[in-house]
Amino acid sequence: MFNYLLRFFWVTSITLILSPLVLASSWQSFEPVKKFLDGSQPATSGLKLDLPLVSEDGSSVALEVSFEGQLKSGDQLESIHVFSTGNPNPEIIEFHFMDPRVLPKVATRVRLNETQTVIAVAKSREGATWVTEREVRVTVSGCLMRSDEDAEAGMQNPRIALPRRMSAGQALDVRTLINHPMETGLREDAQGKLIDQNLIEAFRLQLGGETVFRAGLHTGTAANPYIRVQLKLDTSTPAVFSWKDQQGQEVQEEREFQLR
Amino acid sequence: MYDWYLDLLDNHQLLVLWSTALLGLSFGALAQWSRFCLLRGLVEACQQQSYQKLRLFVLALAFALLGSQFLVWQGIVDLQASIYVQSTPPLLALLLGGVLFGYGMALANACGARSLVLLASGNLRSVVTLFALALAAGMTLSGLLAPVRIYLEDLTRVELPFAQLPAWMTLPLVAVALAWVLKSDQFRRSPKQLLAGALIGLLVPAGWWITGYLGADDFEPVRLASMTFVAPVTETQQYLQLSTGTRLSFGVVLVAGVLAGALLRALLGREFAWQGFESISQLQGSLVGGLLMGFGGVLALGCSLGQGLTGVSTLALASMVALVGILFGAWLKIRLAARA
Repeated sequence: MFNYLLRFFWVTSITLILSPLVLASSWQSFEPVKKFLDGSQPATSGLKLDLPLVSEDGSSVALEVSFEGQLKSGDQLESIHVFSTGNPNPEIIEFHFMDPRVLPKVATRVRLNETQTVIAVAKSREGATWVTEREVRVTVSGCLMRSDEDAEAGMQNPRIALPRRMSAGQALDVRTLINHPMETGLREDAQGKLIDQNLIEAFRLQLGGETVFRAGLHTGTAANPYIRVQLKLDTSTPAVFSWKDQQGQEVQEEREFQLR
Repeated sequence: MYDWYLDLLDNHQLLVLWSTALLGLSFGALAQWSRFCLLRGLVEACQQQSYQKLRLFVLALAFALLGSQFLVWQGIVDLQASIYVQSTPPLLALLLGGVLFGYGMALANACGARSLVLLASGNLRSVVTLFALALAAGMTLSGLLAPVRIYLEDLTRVELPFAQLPAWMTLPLVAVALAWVLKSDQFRRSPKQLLAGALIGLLVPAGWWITGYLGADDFEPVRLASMTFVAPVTETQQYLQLSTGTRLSFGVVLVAGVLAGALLRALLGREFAWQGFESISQLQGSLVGGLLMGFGGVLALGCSLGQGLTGVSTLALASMVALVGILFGAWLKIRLAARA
């Protein structure tokens, strides 16, 4: 009897001591991230994920991800993927960087179904990887009332905000927003029927006719997608912002970066 | 300095926070100066047939209504986007929440806003009231009691034929209120009361203007709000504990502003004095009153100021129901106390 109790004590204490370690590194046991890493050993510093600790509105949580890690000379950051461990679909959003003029610091708004860990993974062109994660507690909404948006609405009212004063070599925050329900295909209407999926799939930024940044949007991206990118320019250049939905419709907005 | 000013204008969120701090500061100082308190007004009206304090509240209400509807008329803010204007409000939950809030307010001898002002004047009884209020409000918003709140709200939702009174009702309502307020010679001859009532009332449209006009931004909208003190008190408590992982919000800055404003005015007016509990029953009153105000205030979507001034300034029917609940709850407790 005493031995049995002693053994119970040891097993419990070892489990308790180890459990934080297991919980602390959930990216190692999360299948979609493992698949993305494909056996490579990621660095755990260099990538930074900024999310609130507590959010009272899981349908739109502000997220910022930035890369400050060391790259080998000649190497470039290729992409950052953001994963959810608690949503029905793991994909939240992904960012692809094709040009050094786009700084690896982006912000958006995401959907989080419940309290969970959000994981970001970055990859360079030569295959180096970085990972970071952050736990977010999602509580029921306080005083929120959403008018039922039209689930079948297309893309409407694209908006771009450029900084008021722009100069060469300075980091420029560019904010974009478009109205769209981002219907997940998982929600039921009042009659209990599944509402069809209706998503924007991609956002693209072109500078002088060349694609420099692309974002892949998924069910984890919040409705009315908001994307903020940071640019560093040396010369004035025309820009085209475009969004593309699942039906293949495309919306374009043109702007001019006029440096002082 | 000039650069700092330009940067502030570029960053609407920062601009809203600084303006909110000024708003809170003004309210704290004015409320401390004039002893603005709906409860005191009700108690004096019930027990001494003296209506001076109640007149002060009604005067503020008239100016809040007039100012807010002026902003709507000018198209500067759209109050239909506020939480008070609902076409299917949970009327019974609002009424019940109001009654619990009013009862708690009378039990604790101060509402949320008044407790903040008192605390800044050295009244330590308010500490208990405020922490109890913050705890109960947090539990009801997002904690253990949240499922109860959501159940009650869904159970009692009523479809209203119209969510607000028509805007033209503003003028007759304001006229009636002013006529009653100015009927009293004593009140008319007190410039302090007249000034304080009008200014406190005008802080409500000022709040709408800050969040609705200064905070208007397609990309990062600020939630439309004005003076209210239940959610902000619990937000402040949460912010104290989680500031590394949350952002400063309207409510937190408002509460900090009120505390600072009231403290400043209490020190300048040499009215700062430490006070504590004199009996166990007083402690019980503060504790239970605070808990009731927290739960009731969240259910009613606001306190005596949040619904009474700010909510009613939108002409929302739901707010009027909540205000009736608050008045009834407070009256009930005052009568029970008088009988005992």
